[in-house]
Amino acid sequence: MLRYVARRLLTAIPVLWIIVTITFFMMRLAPGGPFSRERVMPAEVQKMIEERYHLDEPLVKQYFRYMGNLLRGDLGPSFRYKDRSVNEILAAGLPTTLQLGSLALLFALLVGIPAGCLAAFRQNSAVDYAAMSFSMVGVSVPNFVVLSTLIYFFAVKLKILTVSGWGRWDQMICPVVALGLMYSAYIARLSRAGMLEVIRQDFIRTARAKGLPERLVIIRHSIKAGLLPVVSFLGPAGAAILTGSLIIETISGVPGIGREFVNSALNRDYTLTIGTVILYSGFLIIFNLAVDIVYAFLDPRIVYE
Amino acid sequence: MAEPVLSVQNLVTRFHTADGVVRAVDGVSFDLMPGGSLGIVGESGCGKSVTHLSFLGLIPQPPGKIEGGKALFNGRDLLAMKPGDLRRIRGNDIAVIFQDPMTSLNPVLKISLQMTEGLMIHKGASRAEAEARALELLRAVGIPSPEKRFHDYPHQFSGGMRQRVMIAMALMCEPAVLIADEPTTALDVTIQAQILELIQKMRKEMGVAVILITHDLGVVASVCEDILVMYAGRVVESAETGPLFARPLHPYTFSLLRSIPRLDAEQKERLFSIPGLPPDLIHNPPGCSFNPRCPFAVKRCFREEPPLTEIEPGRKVACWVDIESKKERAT
Amino acid sequence: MTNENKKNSAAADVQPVKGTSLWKDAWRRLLKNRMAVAGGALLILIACAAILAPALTPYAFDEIHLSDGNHPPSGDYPLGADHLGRDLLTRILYGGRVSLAVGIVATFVSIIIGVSYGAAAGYLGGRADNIMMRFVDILYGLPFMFLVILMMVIFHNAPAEKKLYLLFIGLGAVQWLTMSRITRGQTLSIKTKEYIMAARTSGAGAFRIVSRHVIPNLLGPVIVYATLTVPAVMLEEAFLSFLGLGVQAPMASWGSLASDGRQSLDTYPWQMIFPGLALAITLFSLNFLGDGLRDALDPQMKDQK
Repeated sequence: MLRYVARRLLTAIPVLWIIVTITFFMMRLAPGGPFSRERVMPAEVQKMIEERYHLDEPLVKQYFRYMGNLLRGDLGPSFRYKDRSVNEILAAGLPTTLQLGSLALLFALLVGIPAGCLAAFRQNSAVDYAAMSFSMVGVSVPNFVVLSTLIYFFAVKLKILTVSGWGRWDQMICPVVALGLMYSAYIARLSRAGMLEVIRQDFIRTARAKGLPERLVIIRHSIKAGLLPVVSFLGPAGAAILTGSLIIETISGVPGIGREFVNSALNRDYTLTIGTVILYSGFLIIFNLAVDIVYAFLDPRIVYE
Repeated sequence: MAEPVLSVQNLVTRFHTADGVVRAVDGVSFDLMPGGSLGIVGESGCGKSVTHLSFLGLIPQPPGKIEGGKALFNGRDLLAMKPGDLRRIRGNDIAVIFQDPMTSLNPVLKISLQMTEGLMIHKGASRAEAEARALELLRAVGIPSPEKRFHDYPHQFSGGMRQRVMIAMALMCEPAVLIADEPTTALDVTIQAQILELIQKMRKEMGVAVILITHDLGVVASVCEDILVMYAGRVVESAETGPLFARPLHPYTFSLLRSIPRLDAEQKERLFSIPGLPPDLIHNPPGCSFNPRCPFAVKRCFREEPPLTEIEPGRKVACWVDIESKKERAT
Repeated sequence: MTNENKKNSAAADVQPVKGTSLWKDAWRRLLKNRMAVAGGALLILIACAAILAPALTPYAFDEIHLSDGNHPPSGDYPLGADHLGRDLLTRILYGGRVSLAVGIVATFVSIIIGVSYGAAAGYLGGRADNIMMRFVDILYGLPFMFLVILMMVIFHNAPAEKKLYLLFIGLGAVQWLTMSRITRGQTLSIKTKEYIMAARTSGAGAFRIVSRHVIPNLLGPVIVYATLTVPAVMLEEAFLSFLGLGVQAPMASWGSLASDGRQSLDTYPWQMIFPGLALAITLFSLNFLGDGLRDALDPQMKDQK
């Protein structure tokens, strides 16, 4: 298992390298630059700034300089925020994004799994139809529509919640629910399907034939096997939630790295854009690895060589 | 004479499906003596399994419905019990071994847990007591060094070993009745004999009465004292094993016996197979269900259903025809 | 009854992969599914409305009536007007053309990439298959949407039409991974069937076998997955447009209309609600149709996600 984890982390290195390289050259080959929007500067000032950020060097040299710094963990200075390094900006935004993402995922699991299980155990009942209609709506309504609707009703009309910002519960509910809703719907569908698959398995009949109380048949014998599809969905869900957080952070004024990513890309803040991409990719790689480990832990048939 | 430990009387189970009513079990009766052994034989889909699943409360309801009869276990009617009381009998007094040991054990739970949970629930045993008992039984069913395998998962065992585990698991609570539902069908031929021997051995050692359900007459011959032949949800013949093999009285039993390959048969002879298919249990033909496939059928067989009649002590058959007199013509 | 079920599924196994009876059967099953039929009908209606937009509305989609700015829904403007007094219904109908076109074309792109990649991997087998699918595994772990966002940012100032092509390709490239996995699995199982052996022994080349025998047999699963890909792509297009990175004025899509409407959510909520609703209803119908198709074409896949 340890060897497996080590190997996965090792294969992550070339992947990250590819990502960094693609991002680096995509940004540099794009028209416009970090300072081109500002008023025309005197040539000496422009030259001074370019020298400071090494923009006057050949692109390949800049690339190797950047990669060298990256190996030392230095993501470089920001081009837009004067006197702040990318490391500082990301360190400031990361906790917020992680908080938003994990709360949304938690919300998705806490709503999706019970809804799906309930629907499966009461298949073709009103509960089942209600849960499945809810999930159909959930997978069909874009998160920004959900967020805007929530804000409109709860913040603008009823004034219970706050329109934007982050930190207090009344600021957090709208973004978390909007971000998590779609995945709660997917999880509900997956857990329903998984449970339905499991409860018609032979081993459930064995458990009943042993005279186990229904409670144990469900909790001990069904849930673990039935929710395996949900666990394997967590990888893609994590990626999608991160992507979704871009839009949610932008709309709701949540000071996370998602907002920084969009803004920095628009502003040609090269280093900050690459920094966010690295952070997101690295996070996804670790998250996916963690999901696979948890999966192996839950399903003894999976053996990682 | 001793009282039967399990007495099923006129059991009727039907499935109400979109295509119609499936008469899966249609008036089945049998007695099982304490420590006795009964074989239930028939083609797949003839209601053998539904019979025991019915009185154990294990058929899905709906669409299944038990529409009549009794199943007396030590005098108490299982069919009239509250679900909770029936649950306390399942696994505790009546245990089941299912056909496919690959799918009948939970793949994500350890053997130790699956074996011990029944004893802990039914007898209130502590974990340590239950584990000690489980190890003892695993040893008895022939799992080598059970201490090492105890905390393994099912997929780490071979098919035959898994079936041994299933048998040990079924015997945990020292049940009075052990129902083995096609216990050897999914196994290799060499393993089949070992498992049957094991069931025999455990029956003798523990005095548990055994119901062996199979489509293979060869299997019951070696294990069971009495045999019940089922066709299309009904019992067509019941007898002690010896007489049944020596002198089958129902054409279906006769055909089943002829379709067993024999070593002493001549090479040229083609293996007999029963012509036609079993009826679909929704559209039973009028009269005897076996009439479309019966080589001996007379007019009456197409009009009236023959009742199961005791024609000699210990022998019952449901057939209008005196098969002895017509055997010559069929062969 | 278990025995009956086993018989039925065994019967399903021996059915030929292709054959009129299978498609007829599937069609019959689909018609039985009321939600899928309703979804399909609604989709046809929406598509017709979008195509026939010029005949359905008296306005041009960029027709400005400044005096009617932010006009609420009324006889003249059934769904209201935006801040420039452009009829919202007209803009939604025309926007639907863009949204639907992106959904369909990008899905088509993903089918072409995914099916050829997956069929090649499955057909080649062995090491090539191993390496190719390993590559897909790695790509699964990457935040693909970030690269698409980056691409759209870089070409932010490109002409609207070019950006549309970028959307087609970019979003198609995000979606091909699962398609390639499905295709590979199907190809692997088809490959071992007798008629492929027969074709091979009669001297047919690899290309001919794949194009004449393998791909036609893939049709069912690919159609099903494509139906479910269209809403995913439309969602992503809306997501990009909402961030201001997708379709750009004067062109509009449901995503960009919703984005425009968001600015005035608290005062003129209909400007956000109607485009959002159009998108949600379309996605809803697509999802129901896709689920129905899946159940109809592959009854054994039922209850899986």
